[in-house]
Amino acid sequence: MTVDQMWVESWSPEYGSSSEVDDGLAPSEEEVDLYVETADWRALSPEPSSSPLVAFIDGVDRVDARAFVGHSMSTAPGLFGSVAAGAVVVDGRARFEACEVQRWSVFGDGVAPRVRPFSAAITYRGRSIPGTRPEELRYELQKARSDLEEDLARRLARGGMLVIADGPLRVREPVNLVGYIKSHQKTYLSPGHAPVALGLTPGERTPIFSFGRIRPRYSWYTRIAPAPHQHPWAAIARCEVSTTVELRRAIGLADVVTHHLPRFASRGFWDTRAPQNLVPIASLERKLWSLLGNRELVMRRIRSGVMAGGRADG
Amino acid sequence: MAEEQVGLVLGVVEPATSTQFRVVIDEDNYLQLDDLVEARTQVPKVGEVHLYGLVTEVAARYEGARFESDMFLIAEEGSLPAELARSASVQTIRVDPEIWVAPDPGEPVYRVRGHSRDKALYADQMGRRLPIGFARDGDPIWVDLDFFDGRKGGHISISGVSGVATKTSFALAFLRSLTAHPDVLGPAASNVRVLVFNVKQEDLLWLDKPNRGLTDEARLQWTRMGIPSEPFPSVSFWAPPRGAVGMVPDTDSRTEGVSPFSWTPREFIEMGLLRFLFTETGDFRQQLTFVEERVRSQLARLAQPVEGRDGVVRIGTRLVASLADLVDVIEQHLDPPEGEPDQSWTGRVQGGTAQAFMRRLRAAEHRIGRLIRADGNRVDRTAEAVTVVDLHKLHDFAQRFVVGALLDEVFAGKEKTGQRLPLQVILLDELNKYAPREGHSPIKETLIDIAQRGRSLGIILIGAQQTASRVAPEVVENASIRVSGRLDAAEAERAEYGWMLPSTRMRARLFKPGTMVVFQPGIPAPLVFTFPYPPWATRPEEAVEEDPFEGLS
Repeated sequence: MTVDQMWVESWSPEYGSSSEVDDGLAPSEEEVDLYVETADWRALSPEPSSSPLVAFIDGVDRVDARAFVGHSMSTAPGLFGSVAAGAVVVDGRARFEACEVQRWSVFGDGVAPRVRPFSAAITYRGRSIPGTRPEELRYELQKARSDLEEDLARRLARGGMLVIADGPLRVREPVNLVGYIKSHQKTYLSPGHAPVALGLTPGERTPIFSFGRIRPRYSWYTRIAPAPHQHPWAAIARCEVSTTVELRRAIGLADVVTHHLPRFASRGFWDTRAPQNLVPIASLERKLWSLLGNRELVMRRIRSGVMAGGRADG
Repeated sequence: MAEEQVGLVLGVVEPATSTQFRVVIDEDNYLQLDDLVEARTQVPKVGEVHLYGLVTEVAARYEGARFESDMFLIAEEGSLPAELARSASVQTIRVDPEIWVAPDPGEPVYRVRGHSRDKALYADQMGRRLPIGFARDGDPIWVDLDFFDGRKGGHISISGVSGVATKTSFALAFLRSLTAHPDVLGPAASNVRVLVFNVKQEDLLWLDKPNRGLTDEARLQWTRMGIPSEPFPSVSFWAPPRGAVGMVPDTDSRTEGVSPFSWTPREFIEMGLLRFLFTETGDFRQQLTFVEERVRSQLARLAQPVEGRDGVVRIGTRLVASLADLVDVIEQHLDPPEGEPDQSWTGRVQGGTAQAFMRRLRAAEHRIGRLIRADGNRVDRTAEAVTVVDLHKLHDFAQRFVVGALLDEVFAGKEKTGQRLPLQVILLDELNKYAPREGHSPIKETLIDIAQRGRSLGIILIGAQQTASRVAPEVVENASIRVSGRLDAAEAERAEYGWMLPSTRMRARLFKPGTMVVFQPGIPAPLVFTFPYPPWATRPEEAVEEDPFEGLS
């Protein structure tokens, strides 16, 4: 077998690949309408626009400790977890805004023990789920995180900012909120249209297409940085906007975002998921992790708190 | 007075310690070098402990950035958020009560004011505090006179590069403060006498004239120090006479009010001033000082007063009315044109040595001849509070002679009375010339004597030099109060400036004129201060002349 081309994945191996593919991306099972914006499928180069007031949003979650409660002759699994979300607002200079930490205890089997505060700064609020599988507990914690992120996104977008949220969009509201997806598990483009996305240069985008039955979205691909000698999909991101936003406004958002995103692309030496992991989002993530506090110390607090009688009593 | 919090004690990356800690500065405030701060911390079993400290460095950095090139992302691209963290390093200078603990990180830090400032500066423990200038915060800095006038210590040593270090200006400002505060000085205040040597230009010949350049701001500063913003009220000026005849002072810009000074041959012999013609460091090695001793004692033995001519002496058959006469007499014994040298004068040194001695005397005759004359008129150090002796037009050799003679006169006089009071203060610049680190000379010995014993005799030396490292260590080490202006970078690293903090050394090369740093035994840290512009003139152009017609119409 002869090799025509080889490239090294730009992301650090522990993150997997920016595109999980063997030969081309698997097609999406969603019904995709490619001709929402135009029937003439080619790269679009938006006009330059002035820098908008933009907020990048991200969140993190972490299991601080796993726990169990004994009840009526059996035990229910649970966890103590911390979540945080915040924003980087770019207005000439970038600044952190509205960074918030929440701590949750999640118990399965429908148990909702009351947990006394371990300290003034470390107080876990309770959530309960019917299931008992570890991943169900974990999912509940992630849900707490996305709730926090979505609340923040909604609040900032309603305040008039252009909000770019890390990951797919869940909010369905006609506000300037754009979901930024940095890795590709599947393609929404047919083999005939994919080359348009792959041929983009920084600051260009594909025409808008739409998909999604439950949460219909407008979407487009854009290149945020040149990526020679890399995987064809490297440095290509996908953005989405809720279809509750008028199409004309969605096109306007796509143009502004496409024009300005390359400015925020990270570089190889700077981030292990460069260039798609945007500079504001990467730094926000680090900030949020530090806000969660030192995990060992938090775990120590939980242990000593539970032993001192902060345990379930009802 | 409302307390002003400036930040919090840091203890995140590096721990806070009892001797130094860092402060993260509040967003809406600042700290600068030399600021004085206070941190309070609760200590179990003890209660509240106050740590007073001096800001030795301030720093600013962006947190959240990892690479230096991130600066572009933060400041130009605006894509990377980062937190600006400004911090100050603080050196503890006092702990009260004396429980040496580290302040708890997170405790508030205050700028000192009023009472807490006095505490930080040990002003509450000073016996007699004299204002000498202002700290960065605009409030006064003091020295404890107990360490100046001999009670607990004495002498001031001032170092700094010429021209920008303003050593003399500071010394005069200090003396002005001293003479304006008899209340602080106490019993020693009456009849304090200051002897000032003017070595450069005629800068000090205007101390009694108001300075037309004095600003209202400077006036206010003098007032705040409790000193009238006026020239020195009581000064006498002395200069060498111009030429061998006549009594006109050899000065350019000012002659009015300047008295010429000189010694009679009789005084020259009685006071043994011959010593001060052999003050070069090589003289001792060449045995010239040995000959000098012999000659001096012979002159003292043989000189006879002359009836009706006060300053003149007779030696043998010869009348001695000038230095030239005296040199002739000595030559008769040491190197006679006919016959052998007189061994009771030469002390059996080799002929070459006696000839070298004579060559020196001939040179001296040329250089200081006008200072030794029958109508001699000695400097009167007691007439006015401040006596300025102008040396700037004299040859180096003659300068050493005058300084040596006057210092010796002061020291001998004080030794005779054995009384500490009245105080005699001596201000002498270019100390490295008079008391160099290496070699022997009679002036150096007198200065070392003053440095070591002057405290108890009431002779206080304010010595100045460009480089303390070139001055005899005995002189510098005996100064309780050390002051420095701008220093050469290499000089600042020397052991003589061990009293400075590393940060002070770094900055000493950047001091502006009028900015100095003072160290005194009562405060374990050097304090940077400025002193106000002088109310007395330092150049003829600055002097406000009184109108001779004032009051007439």
